[in-house]
Amino acid sequence: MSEARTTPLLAVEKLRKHYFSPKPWIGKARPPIQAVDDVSFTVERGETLALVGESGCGKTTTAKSVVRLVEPTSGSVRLEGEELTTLSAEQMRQRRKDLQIVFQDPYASLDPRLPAGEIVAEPLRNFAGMTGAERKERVQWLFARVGLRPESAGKFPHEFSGGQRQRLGIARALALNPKLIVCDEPVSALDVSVQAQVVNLLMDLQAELGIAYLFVAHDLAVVRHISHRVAVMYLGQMMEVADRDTLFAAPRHPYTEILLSAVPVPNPRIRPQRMLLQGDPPSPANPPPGCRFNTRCPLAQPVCREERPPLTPRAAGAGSQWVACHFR
Amino acid sequence: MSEATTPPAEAARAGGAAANPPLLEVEGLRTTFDTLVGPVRSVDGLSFTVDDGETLGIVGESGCGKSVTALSILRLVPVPPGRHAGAVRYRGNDLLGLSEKQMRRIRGDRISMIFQEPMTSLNPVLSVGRQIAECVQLHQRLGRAAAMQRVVEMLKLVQIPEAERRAAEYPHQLSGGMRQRVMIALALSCKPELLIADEPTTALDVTIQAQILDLIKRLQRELGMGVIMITHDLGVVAESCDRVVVMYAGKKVEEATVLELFDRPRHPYTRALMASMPALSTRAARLTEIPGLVPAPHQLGRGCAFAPRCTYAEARCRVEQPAFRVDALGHGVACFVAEEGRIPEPLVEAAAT
Repeated sequence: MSEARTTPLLAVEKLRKHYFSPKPWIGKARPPIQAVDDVSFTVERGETLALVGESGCGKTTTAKSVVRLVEPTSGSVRLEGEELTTLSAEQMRQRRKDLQIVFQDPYASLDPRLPAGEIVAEPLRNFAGMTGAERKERVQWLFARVGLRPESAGKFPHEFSGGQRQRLGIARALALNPKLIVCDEPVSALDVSVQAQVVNLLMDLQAELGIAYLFVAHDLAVVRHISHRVAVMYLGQMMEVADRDTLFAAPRHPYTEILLSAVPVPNPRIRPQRMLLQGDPPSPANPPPGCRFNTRCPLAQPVCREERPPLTPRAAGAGSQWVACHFR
Repeated sequence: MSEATTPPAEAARAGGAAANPPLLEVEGLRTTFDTLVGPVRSVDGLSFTVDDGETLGIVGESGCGKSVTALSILRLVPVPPGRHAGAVRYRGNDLLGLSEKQMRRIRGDRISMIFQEPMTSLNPVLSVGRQIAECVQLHQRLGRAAAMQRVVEMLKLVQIPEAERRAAEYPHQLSGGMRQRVMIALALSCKPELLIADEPTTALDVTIQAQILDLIKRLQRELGMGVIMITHDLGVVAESCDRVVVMYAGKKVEEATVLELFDRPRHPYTRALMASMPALSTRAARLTEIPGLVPAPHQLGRGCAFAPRCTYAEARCRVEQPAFRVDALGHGVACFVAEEGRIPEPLVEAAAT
């Protein structure tokens, strides 16, 4: 996060997404749901930034805002310096060549009536201006690259298993040589033994093609494995951003610390020192004032209820670490 | 374990209490579904026991039959398409032979279950208090006032704040973690002797998962009940179970105490599962993949179901079923290669740092 001479691949600044409900006929309008509130981060070329947090923290909304599948309320999203939020629909469509997305549910994100080959060829048909033969060749290459048999191009999505469908989704995202792929929980719907195959595939593709990932996940063990940097969100705001090793070895934000300690350890001889988080997260329609974590934070002081701590850098040995906390 | 009717190893483990039958004894359980593609064996010859106060883990991937096992124990599998064989003995009585009326007296009272999806398993049109009250009124013949008192007591037990107010609320008004706690309160309201938890935390966030596992453990200590913990997460197993059964394609492939299993996994599938799951301590650059897919239950061949994906599979594995054999330490495995000790020992993840 040093002053980059080159512009980062993706720069998100002060992103906000509030959902307003229509004013009812009688009575007062309900307060907007602040799904994402003032979130900033960058993704460099060829790196993986993981967005983690619990359900409802706004990580998926953030990811979808980047691709403008969700229109942000305010803030800026820049891809290679170009502002995406103000592009027209057609300009955005063109820009999506560089910016693809892989969805969580491999069952819902593929058209059940298109054969697999057509699903992967569709982006090529829309953008690449290839001849039929070139397209066919490219599809074959993509199939082979993601570990599907090229002969299976004629099959329909329901004939594939969950892991294979996720490979199809990856092949489709890969078709136009994007610079960034937003992965929205790409492995959480898969069986453990198949999950490893897809995680390895994503890492191989990055090594080979230099793609950057914005990797949304809640499984911290997978994140620990795949990412270079990790951003922790809570209730629509960024709590901590750090290099992976720094974050996992020395988390600073109390929420990060609690989150990491909650992960079960697959070793019966280790009895982890667990910090239990009491209660449930507050509603994003009515977030607490000050630091959003203050209602559940073991370190909370009066100042935390009054003033929101900004995300600021901390001097750390190995890598940069940005934390939004008054005391850490 | 599967060969003898009253296994001596079992009696020895019970520590002299051999006269009393164990809390739950499943023997040769076979659950078959009649489908259009022919009979499908979801659970195939499964045997295990659960003692009072003990937590037995059942681990496996989706489709391995672990949930069907749970449903079979409680006789919740619909019979026409389903069929049972074998025995499920609760304190010596075979549940599979009971009438539906007798079964209803056990279900929810002596043996109860927590389901994976708290949203779909609670009744959306009844307040949560009403649902818990219904259970205690039925089984324990409590009056209305006494039942409501028990409801509030149970909701407090599972640490739901403002229990009186929450009891009047409906499931959609509660968060996911809160709903799962209501499910637990419901399951424990009659102080059962056996609790079956089918992926109780899979739909929840890690911080809530930690709360729920902690809660189950605490209640188990207080009530002294046996627990069957069904999960695919080895982390959950390591933290909450005493003994573990690993299932693959409807069969038990390995069983051991939790320490023994993690120290010395013997079945290639157990090992592969451990290696393919990233942990926070994993430092390997690449995860170990298990090639191929979990087989569909109607596509099983004659041999070991794991053979097509197994690194150590031999010709024999593809044509013959390995029997489940228990070694001197009580560690059982169903694998020809492991039994003959031909799987190199150091394959065990060096991740235990």
